[in-house]
Amino acid sequence: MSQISEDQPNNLYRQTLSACPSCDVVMKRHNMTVNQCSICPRCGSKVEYMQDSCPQALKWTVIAALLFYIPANFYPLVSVEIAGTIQSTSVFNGVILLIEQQKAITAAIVLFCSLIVPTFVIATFTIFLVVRNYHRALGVQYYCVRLLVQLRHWSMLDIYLISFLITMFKVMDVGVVQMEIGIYAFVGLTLSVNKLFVTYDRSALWRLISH
Amino acid sequence: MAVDKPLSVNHDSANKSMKTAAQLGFVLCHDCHSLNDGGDAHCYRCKAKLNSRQPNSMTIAWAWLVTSAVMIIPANIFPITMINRYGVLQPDTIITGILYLVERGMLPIAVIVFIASIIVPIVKIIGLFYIFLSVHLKAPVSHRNITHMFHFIEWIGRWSMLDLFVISIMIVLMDVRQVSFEAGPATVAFGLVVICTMLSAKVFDPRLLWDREGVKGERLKDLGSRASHTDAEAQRFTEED
Repeated sequence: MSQISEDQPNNLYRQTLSACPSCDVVMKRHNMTVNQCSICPRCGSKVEYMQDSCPQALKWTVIAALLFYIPANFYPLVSVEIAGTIQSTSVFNGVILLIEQQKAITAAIVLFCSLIVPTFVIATFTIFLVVRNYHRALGVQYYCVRLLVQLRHWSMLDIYLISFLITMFKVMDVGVVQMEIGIYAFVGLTLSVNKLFVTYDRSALWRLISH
Repeated sequence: MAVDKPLSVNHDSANKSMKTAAQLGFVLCHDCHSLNDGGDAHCYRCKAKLNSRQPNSMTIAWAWLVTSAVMIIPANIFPITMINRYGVLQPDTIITGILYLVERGMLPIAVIVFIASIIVPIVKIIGLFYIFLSVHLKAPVSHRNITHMFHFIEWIGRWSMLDLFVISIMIVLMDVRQVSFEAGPATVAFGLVVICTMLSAKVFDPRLLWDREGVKGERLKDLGSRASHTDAEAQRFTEED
């Protein structure tokens, strides 16, 4: 960033002005401190939320997510005993059964939101971290951040967790529900991915790149 | 909270004197939210393609919205789950499934499922229709409220996926000898409704709503000369503040 501003003389506005992404009004840039939020004067949308986003916390959150990833997705989440038969479920099982029941599109949607996107998110954060620490290849970092901003809405781990609770309540009066190791890992994964999305939003990631 | 001060303090004529990036010859990068010169093709910081507004935003947003409005009909008419009890197949649509939950005394869950799979999709579709129509008809409505409404729809969109996830978990758990649980044909339609409304909200550019207001008083600056003016404009606005 600093390199470019030396090359081009007339870009003072980049440091002093910003525009609202929701209504395009131009406003003066303020130096914000942690936990401050800037609101657009015209449309009232949130423009930027300054958070305490240090690279160390990012590293440990990504490592936590990586550790939780395998047990959360492939280990059984719960097992239920109904009429003498024990059934256990994992994220992956549900998708396979949907395919077996000829609901390939539904299976694809569930697979995309609960497995593929979270996988991409964790992988992209990992690549971003590694590249940022060692190679400083800016182009790769730009792509990672742009991808993460786009994927944000499509990661639905939190919704999966809530629907899991709902299913448990539904099943509870039919059979005996027992927690398995997967559910703890899944809660951990959901919390760490959500922490990544909330603390390391668009502006925080760009700040991490330019520093 | 540090609220960014408007460029003009006078609130009566605030909307007139506040200028948009397009009017001043700037383009906001969609990916990294940095300001760029109007003439540039790529963002100076992240190298993403620059567009003052999302290209063909309204057309694509309408297409996704109409698709979801069509798909919501089969999603509610056809059975979303089929319970096989001792060889007897009992199909359930979204609504009968909720009524069944109420019968069994699980009112809180019934309310959650009702909100997530009936209220939210319908509110989303009607809300987006209202927003898109107000862009087209230049309706005298509060743009501020509509922008808030749009952000709410954007945020709530994901939560309708709840029902599909519940079904994908149920079919695994309820796979016992005498009783089995199957996903019905409506699941596909329902999934598409959720995806299409999310895409519609994603493609829609809320700045189009505000452009209707901006062009009333101000004429858009000449495209050719604006690049040289940008720095002077920036300086002037900073000093004014």
